[in-house]
Amino acid sequence: MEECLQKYGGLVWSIARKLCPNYADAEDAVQEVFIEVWRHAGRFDPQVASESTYIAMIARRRLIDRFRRRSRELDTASIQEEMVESTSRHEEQTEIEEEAARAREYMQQLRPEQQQVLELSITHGLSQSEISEATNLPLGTVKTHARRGLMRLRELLGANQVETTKGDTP
Amino acid sequence: MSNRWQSCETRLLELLADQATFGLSADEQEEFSALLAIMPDFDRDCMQRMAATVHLASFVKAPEPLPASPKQRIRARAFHA
Repeated sequence: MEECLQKYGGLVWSIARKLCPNYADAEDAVQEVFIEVWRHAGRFDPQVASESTYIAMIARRRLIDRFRRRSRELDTASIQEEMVESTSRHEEQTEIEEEAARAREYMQQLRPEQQQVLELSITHGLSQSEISEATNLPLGTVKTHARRGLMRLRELLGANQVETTKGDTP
Repeated sequence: MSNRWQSCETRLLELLADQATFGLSADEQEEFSALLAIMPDFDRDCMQRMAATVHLASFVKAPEPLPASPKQRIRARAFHA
């Protein structure tokens, strides 16, 4: 548990800070994410995804569920931002950084408009209509870019997994 | 038959991509459930993994660390779980 927290705390926190409306909400959300990670640890399959991808996937799903749940019971009270307590860096970050660098390489193989729509949607949590407004693209085009971008990524990662599997065969 | 299967698969992938990005409407959710009933073994997490990959791509060197306060609360919850 401690190892997981040290290794992936920064990753989950960075996703939570992007997808949560405020600091206090992100603090609560990361707890839910890690409980979920431990609950589903048995489902992790290294043949299908790396640890970083698996944890990022659980984090995203949990945060989006939380966001949708909150949107339904939204109250307008705002919570003041707090200062971030600084802690030391950990060597485990290197593995995640390498994974992130690979993810960036895949992203760079997408068409620029697909990259842009996916980043605005997934990384920044913008809705389809917000992206349409920000990019001056029609709503349908926004959805098409998102779909094609994710499908292309799936092809790229699938091809890479096949190559890795081939390479692993004695 | 094969073409029909392929078109079901393509449509399912589209809906999985929509689900991973903008969410599904009630009608789409219904269609999604019907397609999953036809293809129960389909990897329904595949587009969520791609979305996680997009997130990972934005992960920068030396990110803001997880603050101590939620860390302590997570440890406490894990201990009592």
